Amino acid sequence: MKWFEYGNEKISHREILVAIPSMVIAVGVLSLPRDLAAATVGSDGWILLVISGGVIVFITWLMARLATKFPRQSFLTYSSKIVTKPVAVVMTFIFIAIAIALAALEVREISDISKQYLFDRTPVEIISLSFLLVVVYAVSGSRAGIFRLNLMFLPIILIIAIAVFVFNIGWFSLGNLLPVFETDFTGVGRGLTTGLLSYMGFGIILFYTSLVDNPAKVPRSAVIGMCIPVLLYILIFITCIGVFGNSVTSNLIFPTIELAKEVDIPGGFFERFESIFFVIWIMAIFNTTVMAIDVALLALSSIFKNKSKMKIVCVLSPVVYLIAMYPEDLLDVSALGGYLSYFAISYTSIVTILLSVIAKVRKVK
Amino acid sequence: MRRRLLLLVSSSFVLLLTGCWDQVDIEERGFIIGSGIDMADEQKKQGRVLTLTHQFVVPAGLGAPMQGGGDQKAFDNLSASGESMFEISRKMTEQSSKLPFYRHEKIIVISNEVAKLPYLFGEMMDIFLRNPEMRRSIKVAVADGKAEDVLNTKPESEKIPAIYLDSVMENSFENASGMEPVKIGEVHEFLMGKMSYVLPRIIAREKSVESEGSAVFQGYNNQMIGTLNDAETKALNLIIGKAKQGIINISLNQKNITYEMEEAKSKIKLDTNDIRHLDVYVDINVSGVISETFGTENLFQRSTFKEIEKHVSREIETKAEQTIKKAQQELKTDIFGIGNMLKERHYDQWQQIHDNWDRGANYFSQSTFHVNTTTRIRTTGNVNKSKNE
Repeated sequence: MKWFEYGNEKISHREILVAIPSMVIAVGVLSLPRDLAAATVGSDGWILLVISGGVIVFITWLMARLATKFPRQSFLTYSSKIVTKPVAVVMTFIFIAIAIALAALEVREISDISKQYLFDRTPVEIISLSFLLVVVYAVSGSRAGIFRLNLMFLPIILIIAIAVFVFNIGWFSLGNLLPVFETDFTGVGRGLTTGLLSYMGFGIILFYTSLVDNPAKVPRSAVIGMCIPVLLYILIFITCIGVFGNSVTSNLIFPTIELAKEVDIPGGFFERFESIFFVIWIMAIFNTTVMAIDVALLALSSIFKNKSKMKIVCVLSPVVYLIAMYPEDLLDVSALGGYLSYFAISYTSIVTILLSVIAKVRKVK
Repeated sequence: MRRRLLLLVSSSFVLLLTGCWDQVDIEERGFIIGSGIDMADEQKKQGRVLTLTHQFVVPAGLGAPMQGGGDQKAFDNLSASGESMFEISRKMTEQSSKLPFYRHEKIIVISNEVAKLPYLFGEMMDIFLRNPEMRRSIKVAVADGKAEDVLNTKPESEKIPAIYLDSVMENSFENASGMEPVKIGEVHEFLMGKMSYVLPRIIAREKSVESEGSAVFQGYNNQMIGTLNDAETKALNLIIGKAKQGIINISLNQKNITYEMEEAKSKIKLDTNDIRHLDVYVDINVSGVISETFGTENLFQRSTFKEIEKHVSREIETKAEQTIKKAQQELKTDIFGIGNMLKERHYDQWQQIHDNWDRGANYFSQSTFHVNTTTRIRTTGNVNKSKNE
């Protein structure tokens, strides 16, 4: 069979700018306000989001700088130059594992949420399968196509998020934001980790930079791209606290969805806003899942050079599906998400810092 | 050959498209529009038996526009009893030919019998918050008497009592300075915050429902401990700055003058030097018009304006002070949300006293309120005097 080719498979730094927020914004933000509100008092959580966002933006910049130094080289190639080839292969495999697990988690969470709010009686297995099939379809096509989808979806996602904020201004009560600066140290610690973990997914720069023709501008684009989710998270968190108050936010399973449900424009011509919100958010999660699998593909094909893309997809997708179906209930899923984000964030950060330092010391070019 | 096989396989997937686990025809859905919770007539020795009434919409009774619905009723009330709300809902499906559908639920009515028992109100709200079909904008009200009776009123103007009730409550707040309707999302905030609160109260008449004052709940056990009448509710709204339009009657030289509020604002300041004897400063700012006079004063001069403004202010202050007195001495419950303000603005001090705020040592009752009102008359209507002496 012949596949349609979208021009060349090269992208520009602008696509990186869009890819990062598309990757980071996913299911996490639907429950993020809950965990953050539970750890903090009043609306203090937004400060922690700013701090953790700052840290992540810095690591993103570091990562982009590292990858930019080796234009048009895959992660495996340049990390082999910095640390030896066997170490580089192991590192790549761990990244692949993270990407697969992330894709599985997204599939599972979106199925659970859809079941809770939309399909009462459809089994989770079927919802997951149909979602995954669409994802697989997108992945097996052209890589440039995925970036074009990002470019198309991200503005819609941002507009709907801002709409949720604007339509909720009527229920917003400033008193709910008080008191400020009352969170104790354990709360600050817990809130900071929650904030950090919510930015999972930015590791794609290490891999996608190799596709950029002229990567000089990638670090700047990556930093701008990373700022988008940080700002979006702060906006959503503050809206949640303002509308629901701290204690209610920390007890809603998906505060962001409830926020969309709360929208009720007087006159009754625009009720059930959450249905639009759902459709659009599924697009966001779709982008994340597609890119996670695509990064895994990219990394795998850099290791197994002579295997065709379709073959790898055929092996990968059942694995994703099995991992997605493994957790038994809500608590298992959220535990899986917790471990995964802990591991992914710390692993990505440590690898980036180590590689940057070693590259500097050994003067690898 | 291979191509044909592929075509056959892929076209057979079309069959899957028709399948939908969650498909329910709209005729088979029972749209629930309002619910009422009562104590059941027969009680068991242990545990409490409750009666849940759901109001289903009967679309045939609504009729098509311009056609009228004929004589058929547009709603159908079903009741069942049991111990948990969910259990009762399931029992109800046995009586009904349709699948209950909660997405259009508008209002929940609690009988005061239920509300007066400690903890029960909070327990009843759980299912309405937990069920993903429910929206957080469902209104909650307390019925004086049976909730079922409220859902059974036969208003002349509307076909469905729950929708009628919904607009009565909205109207009473917008135009008659009644209690602002409380949504279940806010009730969730009350229950989580353990602060005392007030809910709108309704009374069923034969052909109508009246929104009448409010019901006061203690925050720590969610028990209804008293009521405020219309005037007290109005004063409460003025104090907390939620008042909308409303009228204030005063008399000047033994003649009646009606002042119509168009805008009311309030500012509450707390002096927390001695947290156990708090000083609360309430500043109420009202502006409005003179809408009716029986006397023949020359309104068109500064001194008369001042005089009327002074009377209106004094009237508002008296009402406010009466309500404060009732809250402090009779109800001993913080209906003004002062506790919440303490938590927001003086978090550390609040942490010390929150267990003794409006219970225990009850520092709320020992605080002093200072009410100050400024009134402004904007205009006197079309005429200065309507008659001469």
